[in-house]
Amino acid sequence: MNSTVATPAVSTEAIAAAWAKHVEAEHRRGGSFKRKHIYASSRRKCLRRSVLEATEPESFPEFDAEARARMLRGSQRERDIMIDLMRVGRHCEPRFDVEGSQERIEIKDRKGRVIITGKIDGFIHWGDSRAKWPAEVKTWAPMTTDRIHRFADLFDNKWTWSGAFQLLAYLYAKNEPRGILILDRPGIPKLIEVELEPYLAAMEAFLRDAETAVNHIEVGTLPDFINDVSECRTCPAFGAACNPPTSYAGARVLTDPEFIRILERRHELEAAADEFDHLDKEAKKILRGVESAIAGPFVVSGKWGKSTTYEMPEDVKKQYAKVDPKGKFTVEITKV
Amino acid sequence: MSTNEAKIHEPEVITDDDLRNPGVPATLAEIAALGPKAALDVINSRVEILRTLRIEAIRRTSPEDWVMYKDDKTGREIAYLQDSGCQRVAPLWGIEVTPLGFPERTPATSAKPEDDFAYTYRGDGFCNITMQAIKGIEGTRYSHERYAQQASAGIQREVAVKKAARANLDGTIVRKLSGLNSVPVQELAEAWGSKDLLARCSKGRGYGTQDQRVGGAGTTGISPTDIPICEVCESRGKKGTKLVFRENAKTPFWGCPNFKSHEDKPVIVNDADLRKQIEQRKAAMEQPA
Repeated sequence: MNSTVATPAVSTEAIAAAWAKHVEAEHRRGGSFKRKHIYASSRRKCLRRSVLEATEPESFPEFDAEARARMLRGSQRERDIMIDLMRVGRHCEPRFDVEGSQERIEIKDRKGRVIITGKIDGFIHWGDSRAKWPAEVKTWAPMTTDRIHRFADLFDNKWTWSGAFQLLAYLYAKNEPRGILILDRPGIPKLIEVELEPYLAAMEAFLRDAETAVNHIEVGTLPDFINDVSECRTCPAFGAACNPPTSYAGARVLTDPEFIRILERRHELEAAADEFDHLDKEAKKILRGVESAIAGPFVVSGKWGKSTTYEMPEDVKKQYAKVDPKGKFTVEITKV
Repeated sequence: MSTNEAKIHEPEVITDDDLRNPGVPATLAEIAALGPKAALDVINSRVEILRTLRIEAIRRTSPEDWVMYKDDKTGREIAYLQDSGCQRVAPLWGIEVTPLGFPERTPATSAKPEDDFAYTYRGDGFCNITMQAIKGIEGTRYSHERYAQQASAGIQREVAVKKAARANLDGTIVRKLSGLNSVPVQELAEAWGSKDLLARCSKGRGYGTQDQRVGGAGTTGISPTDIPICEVCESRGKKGTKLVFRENAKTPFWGCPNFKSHEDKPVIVNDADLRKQIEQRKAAMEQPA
């Protein structure tokens, strides 16, 4: 009797599925365990989430294969960068050594309770001096890393916000005034020196929150809802371990008939205005430098005037740059 | 209460302009009392605001957020906004969701982690634009659904179903308060300014078998990717015109749906020949190198 064995179809889908299984095997989630403290890497704006992560870690969704692949890559890059850092230390002037890889840190409160724990990637120990810089390696998305120029920039992005507090916690725990953040990127990593003192108030806020969280953990209660729908919507506990009310203000309704007439007239003129702007720009581009001209029925007169620009080195520009998150307001008006 | 303790409440003055806002409560009698012209202006203004909100809400969704359904008898096509799409329109409509208590599991406990179960959330909703409230809404999801089966049985599947049930509660409240429960498909095309985007919407009941709706072989048994393309239409700019199966012909064949535009160059593929070619191609791919 003839028998045939069906072979699976060759395809990229087959490779992708096998790769996902490989990643899941390599980055197996360690059995969820409860704890009575906060991780230094897990500073949250929502205290309720911090407490749930410590008391009900099993009720958070597991990471999918894509997220695990990213974390696996992060771990691999961290190892490679620390190895490179050791070699770099030998050629640096002054020389440094790398030591204390994955050293565990604990921060205790006034009652002697452990409230924050973490593991430092390593320390840069400078030459013969006693200066020891806690070092933290991060592998964030290239676009995110590109936007970071100073330590303060980490607080502007929700994906890097907790990372900022992680390094501050390490500096605080080891009583070191300075540390270094090493950001992986194509090419030489971005190195950001970090000082604890300007951020002491932020670190104290972290300590207060950690203490509050631990108080709740000890008595089995939960902090109030954060009442910020933008935080709740992106929280993995939403709908599972946490069930907050959500509320949006809604679009503001403007009913002044006079204002609506202004918008209608503006809409009528919009196309003509765009065409005017375009033609005006074209004409003035051609006429730049022409002090007197006749074109058909048109008379042109031009005049040179003063203009002042400031040529500044990039690093000086960055030093005096001041970012106001609400400094600009852009309005778009569309007729539906 | 003594005069010293009395609180003075300033009466709220509502102007004619305020009445144009659909969120300002007013009876028909109050609007009619403004006089015929003013009353009509107020009503038209309210209608226009709700119309603008509805169109803008659809514009904020993407085609993938919708599932289309077709009535076999009337041919009427309507679209349903999925829970994921509801999250895009909730901020515009100012939706509030207040869940009531904990979610209810059915059954309360299971003998084995693989046993089927469901979670139901109950809650109230409110719209800050229309000031409309709804109470006692339910959102339910089941463990046999695809996303739940992808999570491992046990706590992870419980978490997945709970989250989906909460999303369903929120979505149901948004759909009811915004009127986006059942939207004529034509309205989607008008809001997006293009009928082509409808092709990206998921297809539900009335659009063929489940297999056909996801691009399967359907009743012909031939996968859409294996159906030949009309070369004459291709050369004339009508790219991607697939041949259509004519099973009732004396000898079943595949022909071009636009055959009348190129009768001088008919495109006909014998059905038996086509199936033989497909089999031979598949056999060649499966053979080891």
